[in-house]
Amino acid sequence: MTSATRVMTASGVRPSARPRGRGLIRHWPMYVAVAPFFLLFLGFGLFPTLYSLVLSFQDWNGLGTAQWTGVDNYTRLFSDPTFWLSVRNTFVIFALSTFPMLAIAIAVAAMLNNAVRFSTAFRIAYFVPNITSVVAMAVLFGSIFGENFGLANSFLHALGLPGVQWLSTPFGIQLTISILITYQWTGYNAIIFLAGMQSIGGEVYEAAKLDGAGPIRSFFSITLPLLRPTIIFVLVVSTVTGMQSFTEAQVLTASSSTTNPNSGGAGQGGLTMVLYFYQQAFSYNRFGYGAAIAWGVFLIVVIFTIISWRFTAGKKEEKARA
Amino acid sequence: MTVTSPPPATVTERITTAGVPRRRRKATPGRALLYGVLTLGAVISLFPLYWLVVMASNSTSDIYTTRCSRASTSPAR
Repeated sequence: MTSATRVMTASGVRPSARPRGRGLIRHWPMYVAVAPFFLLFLGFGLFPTLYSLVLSFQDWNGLGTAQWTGVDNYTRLFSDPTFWLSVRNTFVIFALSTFPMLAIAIAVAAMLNNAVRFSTAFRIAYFVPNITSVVAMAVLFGSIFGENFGLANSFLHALGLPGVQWLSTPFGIQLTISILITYQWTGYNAIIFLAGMQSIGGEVYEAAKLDGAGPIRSFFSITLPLLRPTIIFVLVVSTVTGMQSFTEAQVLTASSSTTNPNSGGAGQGGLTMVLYFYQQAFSYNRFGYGAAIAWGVFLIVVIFTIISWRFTAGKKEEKARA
Repeated sequence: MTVTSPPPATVTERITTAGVPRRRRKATPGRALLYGVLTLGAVISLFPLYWLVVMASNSTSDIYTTRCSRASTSPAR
């Protein structure tokens, strides 16, 4: 929309000497039409974002006057063991959820790509978890993975296996959150992979078949390499969302941390980076420190996204050269 | 844009499946396995929704005392 108006003003005004004012006056209905979005974005998007940067250099409890403290919040952040624990938790949850999720999603997409019958029904069934409310699913998972009466443990008992302490050990909490994230996002990613697979031409597979390649060989030699752009997209998106996981952890650990709200459950195992920011800012009213955490999280997300993007993109170049 | 692109894909799919229909339709063990795994996955991904209904039709004390007996004993149902 912005580029369209820009082109319009440029073409209408460039020959004349005074471009800005005249374009604004002549095309005022367009500016009025796009104004609601930009005003809302300025007021509720850009301004809070920039103000949080200012806030991160201050000490403010939400009431009273804020005190300028310089980089104090950041030096405190770097020596805060709880922050690094939350970084570690986030990465554990990210690793436990993203890689199984990608593998299952590719497998599901390959199967859906081959299935002719009921393919719409299967797609709906796999997509439904993604469109249900995260909070509702987290509450339900809290009950399914409950210690004594949970479905998961009674299932394990029925198989003759010992029950797992899902929600009372740090690793159990991380595992439960990872299962929840995997459950929610596998179908969504499978649909994206399926779209990528359907854009691969059928003649490539036919040529491979004539050369005597079986379905498994053609999957690894055709589907996966040609799917690489889609894989990069999915990996980057899952990195950004996985680094910012909050709702699952907050809801799943809420009941076990009533005395110390939003601390992430047993051993603080469910304390993700964003949950730690939420706890500091909104449970303890340390808005300045919370803003500093938020910018630390931003930095980590940016760095890690670039790493995961470069990693997959670099591999593609290697493949092309070989 | 995304709405307009799928039809050609399905059209070509139709054509290719129409070209080799007899081989495709044959119930090989591989295809049985394919649909078996797909159904299992669909059941897993729809199960929590089913369980949501079960929990909603049980009383809270039933949920925490018994092994949630599919609401068969619950008078509420």
